[in-house]
Order: sequence, then C-alpha cells, then structure tokens
Amino acid sequence: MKRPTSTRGKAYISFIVVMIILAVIQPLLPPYYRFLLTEIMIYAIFALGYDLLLGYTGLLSFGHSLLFGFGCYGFAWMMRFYGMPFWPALAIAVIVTTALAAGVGAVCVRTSGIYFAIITFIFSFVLFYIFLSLVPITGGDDGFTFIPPPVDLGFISLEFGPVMLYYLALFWMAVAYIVCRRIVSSPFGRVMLAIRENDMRARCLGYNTYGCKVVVFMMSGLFAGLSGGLFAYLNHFVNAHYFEMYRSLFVLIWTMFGGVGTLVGPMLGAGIITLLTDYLSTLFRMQWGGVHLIILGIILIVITIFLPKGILSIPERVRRRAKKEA
Amino acid sequence: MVASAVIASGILNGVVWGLIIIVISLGMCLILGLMEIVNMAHGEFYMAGAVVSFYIVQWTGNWWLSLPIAFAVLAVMGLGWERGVLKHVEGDVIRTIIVTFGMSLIIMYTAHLNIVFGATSYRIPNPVPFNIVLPWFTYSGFRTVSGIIAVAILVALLLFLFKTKFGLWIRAGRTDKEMTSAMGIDIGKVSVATFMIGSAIAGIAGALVVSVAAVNTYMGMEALVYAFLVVIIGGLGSLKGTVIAGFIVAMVDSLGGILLTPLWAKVILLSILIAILVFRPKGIYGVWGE
Repeated sequence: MKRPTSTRGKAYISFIVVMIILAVIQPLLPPYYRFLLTEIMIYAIFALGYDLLLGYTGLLSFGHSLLFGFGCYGFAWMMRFYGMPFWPALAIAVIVTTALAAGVGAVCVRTSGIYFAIITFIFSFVLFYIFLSLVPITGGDDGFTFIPPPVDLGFISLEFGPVMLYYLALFWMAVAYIVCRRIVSSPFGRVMLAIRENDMRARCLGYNTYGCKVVVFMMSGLFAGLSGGLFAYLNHFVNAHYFEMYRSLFVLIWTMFGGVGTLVGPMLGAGIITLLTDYLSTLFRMQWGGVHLIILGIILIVITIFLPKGILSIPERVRRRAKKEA
Repeated sequence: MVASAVIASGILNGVVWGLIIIVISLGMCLILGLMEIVNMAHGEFYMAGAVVSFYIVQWTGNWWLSLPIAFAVLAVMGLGWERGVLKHVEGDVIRTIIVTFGMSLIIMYTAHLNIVFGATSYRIPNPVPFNIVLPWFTYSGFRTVSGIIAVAILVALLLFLFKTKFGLWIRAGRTDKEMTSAMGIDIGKVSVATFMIGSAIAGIAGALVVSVAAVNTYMGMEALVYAFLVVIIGGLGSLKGTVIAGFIVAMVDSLGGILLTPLWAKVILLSILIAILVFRPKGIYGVWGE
C-alpha cells in the first residue's frame, strides 16, 4: 500500500521549502526568538523520536525524560571529564543513550499498553532520583556547566555562537526528519504499523514483535539522545532536573497536539506549544506562576478528547464536514 | 540499644507508611479493576486530601474533623472529574491515561499557586497528646493512631466489598461487565460510585500521611510512583497482591533508608521491579493484564 509518488514528492518539496525559509529568515530574527527557535528545532528531534514510538508502534511512554536527560548528561560528561571535541562527544551521547534505551527497552517492552506506560514512568522517576542523589557525578540540583567547544567541520572550525547553533539545530532536524520518514516508509515501518494495529496478528505472521519493539525503542532513544546532546550544548549546562517528569509530559503534549503518527505534527506541536508556553509564562508571573502549566493540562485533555488525531486532522475534518453538507 | 531503637522505629514507620500506601493503591486498584482506568491523577487526589486536611487543621485546629471532610471533598472531586472529563474517553485505555495525566497536571499546579497552597512544605501540630512508651524506646502516638485508622479503613473497605450488595456489584463488574449489566445492574452508576470511593480513600490517605510527612504539592507524584510499584509488583487488579506488595515496598523503602541510604532503597525497589517483570510479568498475584 504505497502512497502515490506524487504526494510524496510534494511532501518533500514542501519540506525543502520550509527548511529554506527557516534558513533564510534567521538574520531577521531578534536574538531572543532565534534562541527560542533553536530550542524548538532541538525539541522537534525529540518529538520525532517519540512519534516513532507512540504514533507508529502504539507504545505510550511516560519515561522519555530519562532518555533526553541521559543524552544531555552523556554530552556534558564528555565535555567536563574528558574535554572532548564536539563531534565525538555528540556521537558518544547518542550511543550511550541508545544503549540505555536498549537496556530499558528490553525490560519495558515485555509489556504493552497500560503496563508499559506505568513501568516507563517508574523507571524515569527512579533514575531521576538517582541522578539527583549522585551529586559528585551529576551535580544534583545545582548541576554543572562546561565550556562549549567549537564545531569542527574539517575545512572550517565554527565558534560557539547563536547563529552557528541555529544552523546546527536546523541541520540535525532536517536529517532527523528525513531519517524518520525513510524509517516509516520502509518495510520495517510497515511492521511497526502492524504491531500498533494488532500485536498478536503481527506475531502470528512470523514477525519478531519483541525485537521490533526494542529496536523502535532504541531508535526513539537515539533521537532523544541526539536532541539531549544538542540541548546540553545549547545551554552548556546540565542538572538533574533535565530528567524531570515534565519533559516526558511536554513531548507527549507536542505529539498529541500536532497529531500522532504524522511526524510533521509532533514537530509542529513542539513549535506551537513551546511558543505558547513561553508567551503564557511571561504573561503569568509572580503569584500566578505555574498557570501556564494548568493551561497546558487543559489543552492536553481537550485535544485528547475532541481531536485525538491532533491539529493536523483539522483540514480533513473540515473537508469531510463540507462534503457531508453538500 | 540505640541502634535497635532506630531499627524498631524504622520498622514501625515502614508499617505505617506501608498501610498508607496500601490504602492509596487499593483505591487505584479498585478503579483499575472495574473501569480499566489507570488514574495518573490518583497521587494528586491524595495530595489534595493532605492539603484539605492541612487547611481544616489551620481553621479549626481539629485534625480528626479533617478525615471525614477530606473523604467528602475528594469524593465530590472524583465525581466531577469522572462525569466532566473521563466519561468522554471511556473504554479507550491509552487516551484515558493521557487524559488523567492532564488532570494530574491541572490539580498539581492549581495547588501550587500561591493563593491556593504554594510551594512550601508545612507540618501540622501533633493532635495526639500521648506517645507509645516502651522500656527502651518511644514511638509517636500520632503515627500509631494514623496506622490504626488506616487498618480500620482497609477492614471497612474489605467488608464493604465482600459483605454488601454494592460490593457484590463491583466484584461482579470486575469479573464480567456485560453479564453484570444483563442482570439489570446499572454498571455506569456502579463505575462512577467506584471512582468516587477510590478518590475519597486517596483523600483520607492524604489526611493520614500528615502524621508521617510534611504537606507539599510534590508529594502526589512520589506517592503515585509508590502506588504504581505496589500495583505492578502485587499484580494489576489483585487485592491480596496489593496488600503484600505494599508492605514489601514500604519496608524496603523505610529500612533500606536507615540501614543503607535512601538512594540504595530506591535502587533495590527498581531491581525488585525488574526481577518481577522478567520472571513474573503479571506480578505476585496477577489476575488481570497481558
């Protein structure tokens, strides 16, 4: 059941157009929004990995802050303890996070549905606690900072700076999107969908669903690790709160808001929700601090109840309603 | 002698904390068994119970009064959330979890607002005028009393489930929902009532826990983790398993915290969880699940 090539071609063209727009508007952005957009693009990578798990394989994880935080720490440790250059440190951050995802995944995906959600939740909470307690290594509550190294491109070495970060994040988001698109349209992506629709049937057809789910969890960890490493680089600071529950919550909200199983949706969701959170948290300050999180909770509930496929399904809904009326 | 006194009070703390965890988990277990709702907001209901209890003590100075009030307030809150929100996603397990997650966020940060409760931790004055004095050590009377109340709640809950008509309906609904409604029982109403009872006893657990811990807005998340640990180790939906696992978890947490460090206690709990998942995925007394 391949989609016609024309729509896929169109999707790629619009993707390239968006990337070019993002690349071109950079000099026009005020510094604050440049930083915010960089952050959003890093979050978008995280959301893509989460969508592979939730949208395409149907596994609801409440423990993704674990993988994101571990990516941050993997990168920061390489900087602080070994003074590594940028690329090897990023590679190691991604590799250790993928390895952790393999370990956690191997235990967690023995279960599915409710069990999976609960167990990933417990895992992330306990590891958050452990990272909070191991102050000599992790810095605990206070965390630690490190000196961000320049990015070496072979022929030129780019100093750490907002413009370079912006393009770095844009580059990795584009790579992550293309890789995810390839994954979900590959035969393996079909198996993922089969597992989402009916695990038992996929198993009866001879697929090793356990192995597949572990691999998907690892891929999801890979993107979380990449995103975490970039995020640590952006802030050149880490603390144990990078593991906290609300990061898992945010990635869930982005994905639900944008539309599960669409890849574009979660990225869009990451953008809109981050901008909204930013706007609301400057709007509500002092004794009203925290109201923005209440509003996010309401958004999550409303979206889940009334728009389970996210905002990307709105055009289709409108079209269907128009057709019904005609 | 000092060491043995420390260990003895550690064991007693473990028992009281275990009983409170069991009360929380039983509420969760009831809701889960009958309605297949994993209530991520259950911890926040418990937190809300503690906050209600704190305010009652502030206003009236009477802690005893706060128990029935926390029960009533949380029952009403449970009713509101169930009818207002959860009813719309009935039957869809994944969407239900996401919605309850949103609920927990709303409740937690509403309590976190300064005009409601704020970010500080508070303790309440001890309402029980006596302590348990043994020749070699003394134990807080307040904790003893709350442990006894927790036992009373557990007994009352079991009597309710196994000796009343309503409890029979709940148990029947857990076994076979369609058959039960074919017998002329309005399973929808039974479900709502169960959700109310589950929320209300989480509220009472919150009112009891002020004897052991300080009240703050983060306590809900932590309690939720313990309740989940208990429910997974004991087996989803099994009452007997919940009670046994509750004691195991609380003892490891309390004694491990004294003999080793709180960090090691958490590591041991996680190891137990992994071992259970690998060797007995359905928990000690698993009846419901994969």
